[in-house]
Amino acid sequence: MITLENVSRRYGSGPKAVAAVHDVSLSIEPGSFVTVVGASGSGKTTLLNLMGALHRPTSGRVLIEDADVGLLSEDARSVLRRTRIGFVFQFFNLLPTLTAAENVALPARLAGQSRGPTLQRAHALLQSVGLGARSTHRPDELSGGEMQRVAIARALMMDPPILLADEPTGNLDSATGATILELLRGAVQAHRTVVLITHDAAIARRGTRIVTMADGRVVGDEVGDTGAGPQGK
Amino acid sequence: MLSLLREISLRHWLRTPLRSLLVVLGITLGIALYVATEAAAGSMTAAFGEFVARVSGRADLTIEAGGPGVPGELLSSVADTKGVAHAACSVELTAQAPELHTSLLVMGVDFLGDLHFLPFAVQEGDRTVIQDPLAFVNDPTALLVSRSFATRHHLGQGGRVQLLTTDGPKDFFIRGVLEDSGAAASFGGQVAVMFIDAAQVSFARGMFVDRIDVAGAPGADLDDLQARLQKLVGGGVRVERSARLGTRLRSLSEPLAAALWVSGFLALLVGGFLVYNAVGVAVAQRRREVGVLRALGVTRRGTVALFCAEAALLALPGTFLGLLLGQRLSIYSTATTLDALDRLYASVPQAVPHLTPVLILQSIATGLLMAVLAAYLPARRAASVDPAIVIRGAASVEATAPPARRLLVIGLSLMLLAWLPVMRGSRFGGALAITLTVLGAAFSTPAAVIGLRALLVRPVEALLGVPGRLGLDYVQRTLGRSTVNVLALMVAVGMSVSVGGWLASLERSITSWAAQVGVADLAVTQGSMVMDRRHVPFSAAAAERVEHVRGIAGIERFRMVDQQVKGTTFRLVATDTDTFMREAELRGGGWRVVEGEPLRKGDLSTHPSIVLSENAARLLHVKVGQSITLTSPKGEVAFPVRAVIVDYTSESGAGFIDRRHYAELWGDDVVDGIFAFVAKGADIDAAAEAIQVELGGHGAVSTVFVTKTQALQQHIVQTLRQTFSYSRAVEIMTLLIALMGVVGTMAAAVIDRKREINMLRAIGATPGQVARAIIVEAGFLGFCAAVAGIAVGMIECQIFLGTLLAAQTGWHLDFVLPVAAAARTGALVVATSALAGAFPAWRAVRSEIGATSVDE
Repeated sequence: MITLENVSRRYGSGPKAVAAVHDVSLSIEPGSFVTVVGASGSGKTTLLNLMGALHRPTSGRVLIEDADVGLLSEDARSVLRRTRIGFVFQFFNLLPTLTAAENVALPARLAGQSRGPTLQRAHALLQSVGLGARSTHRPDELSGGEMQRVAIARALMMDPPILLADEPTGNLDSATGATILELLRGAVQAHRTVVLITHDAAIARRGTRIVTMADGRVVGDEVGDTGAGPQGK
Repeated sequence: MLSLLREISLRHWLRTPLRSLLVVLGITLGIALYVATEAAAGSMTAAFGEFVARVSGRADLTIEAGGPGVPGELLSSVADTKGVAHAACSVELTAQAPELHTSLLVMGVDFLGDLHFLPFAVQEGDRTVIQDPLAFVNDPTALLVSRSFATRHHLGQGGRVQLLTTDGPKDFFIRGVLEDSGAAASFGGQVAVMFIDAAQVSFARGMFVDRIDVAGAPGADLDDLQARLQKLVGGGVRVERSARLGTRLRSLSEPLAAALWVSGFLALLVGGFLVYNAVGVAVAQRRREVGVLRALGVTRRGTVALFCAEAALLALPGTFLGLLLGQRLSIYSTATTLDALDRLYASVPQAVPHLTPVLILQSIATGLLMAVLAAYLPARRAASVDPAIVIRGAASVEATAPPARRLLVIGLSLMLLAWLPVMRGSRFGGALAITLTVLGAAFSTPAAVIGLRALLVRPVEALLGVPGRLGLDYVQRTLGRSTVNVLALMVAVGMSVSVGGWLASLERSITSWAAQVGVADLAVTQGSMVMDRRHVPFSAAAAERVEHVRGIAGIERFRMVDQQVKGTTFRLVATDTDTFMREAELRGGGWRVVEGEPLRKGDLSTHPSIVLSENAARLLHVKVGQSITLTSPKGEVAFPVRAVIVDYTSESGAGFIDRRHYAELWGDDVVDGIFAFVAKGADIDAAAEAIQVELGGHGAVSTVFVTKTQALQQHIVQTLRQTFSYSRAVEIMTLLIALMGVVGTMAAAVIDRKREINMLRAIGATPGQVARAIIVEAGFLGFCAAVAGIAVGMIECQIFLGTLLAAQTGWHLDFVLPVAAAARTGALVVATSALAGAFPAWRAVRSEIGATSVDE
């Protein structure tokens, strides 16, 4: 469960301050597939950063599974991200010196888990995204779609209940993008909460709920193709 | 271009003050060391120039000799030689004035002989310098001093100046003041003139003089005259063109000058590395900006010019600050250099270095050139940016890595070439071998970094977790930039280990030799604790008085003079060999013979024979059983070589003969130093005190040194370290510059990997883990440099000892592995490198993360 209560996020201070997100309240139920759409500069990525405990709100409260992000220390937020949230980025961001399996295992290794079992689990995750045979390959030996699948496997490594994806198909062709979306929908079916940011209306419609942002505010909240209904203001 | 500089570059450098500071500091330190080195070298040249002008004056030829000097009686036959217009004897020495806490140049001049070479005008304006010439030459205490000396010490006509003479401190009285011009202005104005006979008596010259100056008659063929005079004076005395004197002195001081030059060059090189790094960082950070500029029509050449112009712009304040710092530093470098020169080669005064306009211009040009050259490669990298790719936001981590394997093959080949036999045995070969080693190491560095990473990755990951592994990976991923950094640090570490190694070898050899031959209890000298150029010899009578001091069982007298054999000057040491061998046998010590039979009492005293140091035997190409011919005032005498021993008395070699034969053949009974053996059961301290009292050196201003031999050994080691203190200071500064490079590299690394760092933070890496990865990366850079630098330094040290030092001095020192020094330097470099990564690491983790910045 992710809850935002009157959340604002400003950058800078004084008269030059810019409000990227302004007085947003939103509640995201577990197991939902929420897509966030909006024009460039509408505040959707800042919203994702707040939901992912990357940023603290300037005002208001962000609750992730009852943990108030604004009250957590830097290290506690790191642990929260590591254990409860998985991130998928537009540019994959795999480490070039690590193999696909090592990249997938990275969050667990950062958590101090031992190498052998984490690599075993990474291999299993790679198999689940169709890359079992590529686990010893390095990123420069993989295609864009394969790299994004490795990134999804990495996001699932710690078995987090929340998955946040920022334009995960933005750097891929449409066929590969569709595969990635299927994987994310699979995660929803596995009872994970998925929040996906996109500027593509067609992709947005694949969510159970579509949140539209403009000028830092939520200006629309509607049911998607497979959704149940709006929840926020 | 100017508008781009003003509107883009200047703003950028102002926004990144740390990096701007690094460039300025790199140039500041490089230029400061360059200025200090050049100033010291300039002072050395000026000192030699003044010395040569003073010594040669109006003379066409000078006649000099080793040993106690040139027999004064030669003057009349020289003066009578056809083609000689003028000839005059002179004595010249540096004397200490203990009460005034200074030293001054004393010139002994023959006022009754040919006045052609008189170093001042007898009549200065309407003033006569010497009021009563007859009284002056008849007064052994009469002195003329320069006006600046008199003014500085508030002395006037009749004033008293105490000088340290062979018979201890003695009072002299001022009988005239010389205007500060010509010879009187030399030696920093610290000049005194006395009658030559008085100088000979006061400074135990006997019937010898330091040189005879000769002026040829108009139209005389100087080559012919030189040859005829050489024939007249014989082999032991040297007749040479006055101008040659400077060349000879310069060649003697070549190693010192070379060391200065190398230090300055290396400092500039490492300063250049720092600029390279800082501009590299700027290029990394501004790739997008460069991409935009390129897309807007700035050409590749324009981009290169922009970055080079930025570096040149930053070089200006760096050069200015470097000049200021260099001026302060040059006081130290000049003092150290001139002190070494005065102690080793010729009477030169201390001088305050001045930054000449030429040096200032040279420094500005060097600073600008260094900055532009160092900026050129990163600038080219910036120009090669594909605007389309960068604007789309591709990663900026370097795409291509140096071909490590190919470079390793080249590097190893170069290092192997350094060990070819042809590189041995000559100075040129040695210098080439060291250059090949450093170049070889430079080429091998990328492979070394890869190899060390492979070796360490598992243990580091086990110890420090994934962040440790990522830190090592980062170094390999940016191999090009890492290599440059490792190289800069490697040069600094190599220099430190190499100098430390050969100093340790020299110290070990000298201390073990000193312990072996220093069997006496006390060393007695005057004017200086050791028998260097500053010491003042004792008269034979003074030595005799020491022998009869209560508690003294015996003494060994030392006389050290230069001798020419086969055109090579070496140190002839006349000593009481029987006393030495008797005491050595009793106390367990003595000469370590490396060739010939063990030596016993009577071996050198019964018949004239000589024992040679290893380096003398090598430099003179003689073996045991052969003879060398020494030239004494009584003619040439063949001395059979009895043995070759380990000895470090002189870098030009030493030969030991018995004092009895020396006194007979050379007619010289002066004593440079005395080793005293304390009687069994007598108190050493009481004996030392008694010697002080006996020689009149006891009191507020003591000029007699009575030193326990162990303290003497420590003093020798201390002096040795002091001689190289400037080199050590340069090493530390070079290391500092290189370490600042690590800060620059790490700053670049953080900028390059901003997205990756943010990704790590997003997937749950704590700030501490990210910081650990960056610090491990910086520490690993230092580790690679330490390993490579220690290896290169040790190889350099071995080549230096085996080739350069052997060719220069004939000494063969045992290589002492400088384990402690290497470990200390290595640990320091690793620790400070890691520390240098701390600031960029702090900056990396304190910046806010976000999905956008991950994808930017």
